[in-house]
Amino acid sequence: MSSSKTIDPLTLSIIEGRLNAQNQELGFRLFRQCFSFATAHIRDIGTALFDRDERTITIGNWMPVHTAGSDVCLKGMLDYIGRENIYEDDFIVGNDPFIVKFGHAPDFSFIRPVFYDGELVFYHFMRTHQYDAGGAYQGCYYPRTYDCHGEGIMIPPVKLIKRGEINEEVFSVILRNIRGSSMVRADCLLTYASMKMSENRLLELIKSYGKETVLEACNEIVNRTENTVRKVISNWPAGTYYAERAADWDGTVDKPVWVRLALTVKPEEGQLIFDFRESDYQVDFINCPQGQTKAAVVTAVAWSLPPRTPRNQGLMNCLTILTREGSVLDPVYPATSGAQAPTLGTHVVECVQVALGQVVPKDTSALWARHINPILTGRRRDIIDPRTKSPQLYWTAPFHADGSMGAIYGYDGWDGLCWVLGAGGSLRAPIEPEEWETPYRWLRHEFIKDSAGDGKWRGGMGVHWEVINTYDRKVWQAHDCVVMTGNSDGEKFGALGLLGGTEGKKHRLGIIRKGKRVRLRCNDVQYVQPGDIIWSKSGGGGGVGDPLDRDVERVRWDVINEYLSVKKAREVYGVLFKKGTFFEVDLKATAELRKRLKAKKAETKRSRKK
Amino acid sequence: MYEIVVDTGGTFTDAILIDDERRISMAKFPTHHEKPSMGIMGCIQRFSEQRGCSPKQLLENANTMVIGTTLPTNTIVEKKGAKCCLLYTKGFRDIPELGRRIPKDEIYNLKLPPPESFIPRYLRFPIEERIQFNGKVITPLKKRDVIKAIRKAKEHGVEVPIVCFLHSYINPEHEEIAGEIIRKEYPNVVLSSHILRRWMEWDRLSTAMIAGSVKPVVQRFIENLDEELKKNNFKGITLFTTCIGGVASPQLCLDNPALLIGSGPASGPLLGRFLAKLCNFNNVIVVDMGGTTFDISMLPNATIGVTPEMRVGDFINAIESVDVTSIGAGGGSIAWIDDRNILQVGPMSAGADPGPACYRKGGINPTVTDADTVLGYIPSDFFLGGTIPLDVDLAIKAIESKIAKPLNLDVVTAAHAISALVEDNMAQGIFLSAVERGLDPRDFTLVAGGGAGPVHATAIASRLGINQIYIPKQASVFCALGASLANYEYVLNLCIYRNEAQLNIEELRGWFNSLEEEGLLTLSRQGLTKENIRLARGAEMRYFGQLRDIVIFLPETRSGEPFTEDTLKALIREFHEKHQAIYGWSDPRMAVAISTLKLRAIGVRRPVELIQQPPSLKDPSGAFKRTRKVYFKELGGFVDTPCYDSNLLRSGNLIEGPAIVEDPTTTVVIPKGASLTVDSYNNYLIRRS
Repeated sequence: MSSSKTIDPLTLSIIEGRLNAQNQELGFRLFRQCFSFATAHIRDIGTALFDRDERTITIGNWMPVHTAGSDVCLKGMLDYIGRENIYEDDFIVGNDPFIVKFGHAPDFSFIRPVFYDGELVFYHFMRTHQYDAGGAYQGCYYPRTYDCHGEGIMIPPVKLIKRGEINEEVFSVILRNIRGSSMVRADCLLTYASMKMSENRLLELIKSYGKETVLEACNEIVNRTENTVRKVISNWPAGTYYAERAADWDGTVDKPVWVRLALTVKPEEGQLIFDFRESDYQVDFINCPQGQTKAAVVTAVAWSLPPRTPRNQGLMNCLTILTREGSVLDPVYPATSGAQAPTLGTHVVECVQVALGQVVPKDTSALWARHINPILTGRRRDIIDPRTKSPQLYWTAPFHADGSMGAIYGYDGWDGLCWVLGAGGSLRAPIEPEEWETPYRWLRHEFIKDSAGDGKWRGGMGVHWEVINTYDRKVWQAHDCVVMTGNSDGEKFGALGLLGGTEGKKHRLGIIRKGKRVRLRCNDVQYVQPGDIIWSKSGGGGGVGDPLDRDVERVRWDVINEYLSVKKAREVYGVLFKKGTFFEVDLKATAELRKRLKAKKAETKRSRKK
Repeated sequence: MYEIVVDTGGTFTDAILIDDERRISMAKFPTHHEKPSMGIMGCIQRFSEQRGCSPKQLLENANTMVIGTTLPTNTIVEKKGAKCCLLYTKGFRDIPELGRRIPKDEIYNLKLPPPESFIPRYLRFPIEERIQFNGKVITPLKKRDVIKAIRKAKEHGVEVPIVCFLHSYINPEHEEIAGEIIRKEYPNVVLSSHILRRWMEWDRLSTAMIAGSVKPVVQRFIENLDEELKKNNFKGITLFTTCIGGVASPQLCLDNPALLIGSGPASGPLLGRFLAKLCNFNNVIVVDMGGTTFDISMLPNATIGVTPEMRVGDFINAIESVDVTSIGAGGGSIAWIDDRNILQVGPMSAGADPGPACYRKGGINPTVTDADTVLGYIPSDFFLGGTIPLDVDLAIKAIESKIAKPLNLDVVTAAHAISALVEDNMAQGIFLSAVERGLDPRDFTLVAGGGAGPVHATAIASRLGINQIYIPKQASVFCALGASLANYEYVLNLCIYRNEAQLNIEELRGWFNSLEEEGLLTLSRQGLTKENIRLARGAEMRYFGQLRDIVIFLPETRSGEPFTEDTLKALIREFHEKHQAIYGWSDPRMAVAISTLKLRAIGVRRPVELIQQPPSLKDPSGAFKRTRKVYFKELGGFVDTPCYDSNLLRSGNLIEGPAIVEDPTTTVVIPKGASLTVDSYNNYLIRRS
């Protein structure tokens, strides 16, 4: 491996450590103080640092949905503003899906150029989900708007702060078009302050090591990462691998929407080519712009690489991503894209996982349960907001309904770790504060027996979630209580297994009103009445390997703990228990049953081939 | 009379003995993991040898025994806790996994096994009951469910049942009724609302679970110790140090063992605060560098911070704990090279066994201690006073093969890179701690302890632009010294979650009075009287609409001072100021919300004073021991460096760097450009120019 001639090993280690720390610091500053539910409780954050050549140098360990791929937004935003118009202490914001190409309306992307001695050295980047961005409802997760204008305010890249001066005219136009403007204003300004504070560390780093050394270190970090990744890929089998995954529907027309991938692995070059050009034409609501697509690809690839591989430009140089203009993965004006991350963004990850599952099956996980996360929003006319003197708004998307992670060779899926693009960087919200804030009481939040995909290693569990509306019937009006499921998908498609592992259960959800079922599906909006029960039963992650090979002790443990029924243990895992014992495995009978079931499986396989 | 303070660590039990003349003796004895009282009695044996009496005579003359122990913390981290079961609100069986509030450690490593929950699902029993957020009972408790659960617990050989119901922090009635029933079979039942009165179900459950799982261990420890002490005629009082840096009676710790979890590093900051006041340092950073971890605490205005989110292994102790950040850096930290040929140090540690390569216990990985030995910072013939001879050749071999060769460096440069990188990691840790709290480390004095702390303290300080470093002579028994200063201390909470407009003085006064009553009761039960009691009111506050709180405490007062309009104003003012300090902005026009009222109840033990030595000469030559080759990069490599014997140094002695102070329990490295003064307490003040 080549070593830099000009930079010593100690300096390189120190500089990389500090750049990474700076990225973490920025996120910590923000989620502790912000007003946005998504940022504070779910950690719906992305941070990145680019060098002046717009290469990704470091990415913070925040929600994967927001991280890699921000170079697409940086370029789009700089193209729009003009690189010649960038000055010290500028603070640029944007969310226009056709320029920024990443995030739905509430995801504001922020850039600050970092100057040293009057010279541009870095671009500092941050994206967070704001309290609101206008549109029909708070949070953008409602389908069926006519076009992108219905999804909220579209902000083309603009300097919210110009050379340190707040651009109040622009700010006032933005704030007038959104709810909770004082909170969004505060969050924007504290993003600015937090970025600025953490940039001081960059400046000090440059001061103590010199600009050239720091930039040289960045070069070295990127190059070494690229070499390492290419070396890994050089051991992967050459070929083209196909995958296709679909969303249930786009909320408008009731038919599946497909993402299609042809992955070409070129070991001799150490390059991966992701060709998504066969994906469907753009539809409504669930379209996924290029930046989001890239984030999904990089995340899924990173998971099949050695765990500590940095997600910087070096990794990205090894990936070629092709999309077709006007398709669901590169939508054009005036397409809507409110559900981009939880729907097609997720299915991009799924396609990459299915494809890599053919390339490196032992280093790729089975699919995760898709995102399902009914949002509860509305106004509480029982509480007057001290700031606006009008009824207090509430909005929550607690991530409670989500299923879990898929299994990976050697490991069961992690129970409760939700949604592939949150991946444990995001968390489920605590129930007790939710009940203080919203007019709902939680009835249930538990794993569901037999919901996971089966395998030698099983998927993580699906989750049963139920809440009851407690709004005062006497004063209730339709808009006081709204449920939106525009961030949910997976009633028609479960999480696929791998290497003989099976699929997790499909999601189900609904409303019970006065004892009767009322339909609530994914990508939907409904008014909720006092006494209504909203419920969901998510599926679990996919399994890996043949369930008949699962360690009988693990099967027993799952049965004891009611993750698995006795029936399924017998039928799928071929495990039998002795009557009158505390689930003592009948080893002899189990061996015989497993043998029989395997023979039967082989028989079915043969007949299918014929 | 004597006061004996013991710090039961993972490897060694450290102890100090303070007599009426305020003389301090030190002792060290290996920790016995099964029976920690043996380590304590071992130290007492040492003291009695030092004082020329029998252990019985020594203990007869002791009036107080303060015990700090990492035993419960280690039980959690090593997953060796008791078999517990959980009685939960029906419908919420999986809060241990689903409610988890610690993000995944490595998002991009899918092969990371999930955190283990103490209580497997088959030992979680549903109880029909429900209390609303405002305390109203929605579904009454079904006692039959409790009886059924206990029967199952017995069948499965459960040792400790834990009860955690939703919203029990606001209305503990159901937990208490369940507790009544369970106590008949299990007197040691743990109720979450008795462990702490805070919202956020997982935090409360996590704390109750760790409390429950260490309860039997704590009980055995206390009983054993009690027996040993009684046998040896000890008639004084025994106290345990707690996670908030206080002391509490054994009974209270048994009732709430979570008080002990994380108490280990909590005592260091007490010493830092004491020294800050003694030496008139305004702001101090306290660091303690041991074998595996580097503990950092920031004390602006000599004030110790508290946090309700102390991480312990895979869990959180949500009881207010001294705000200490631990990073994986210590003498045992292993140096390694990643896939990209980039040098890394830690967080993995060689621990005490096999330990660093130079220990000759079979360790083959190069550690920070190995690098320090190669560079001459740690004298290979005088480690722990020469009791553990270090093998420099083994250290060289490990660094050579694992680091120097792959990086194409010579051994010494590689050793320096290891030592310097761990210093930078520690400096970064301090820096992040500081900026997260809105502080600038350059305004601070660095107080360094732990066996390895004084070796690296000055280098760390220089990386942070800190000009003053203070090292107590007893640096290696840092926490034991700190524990001798602890007062009785508790924090009581009451969740109210209201915005400014909804607050009313009468109601607030009533709530604070009830907290005060409870605080006074807890203290008086331990024999404290009103004149020794101080109270500090506080709150967890946020701007209305924010989702996280800042903890505010008002200055201490005596009990009985009424809560007035002004007290509320002071709380709000304090909140704006602290928000400004931490996040760089505040807006007094914005409405404030209070989520939790807090009362800190303090029982003052007795003032501590140190003996002052008469001043001696500047010239340290009386303590000169020898000259050794020691590596200093800024001097171009190894230079002949004078070494001084710590026990012969006298108040007023001034040593110019480069120099080394050799102490039986630690080594102080003084680089060029720094000078060390021995102060009147025989401690070391280092200044960088």
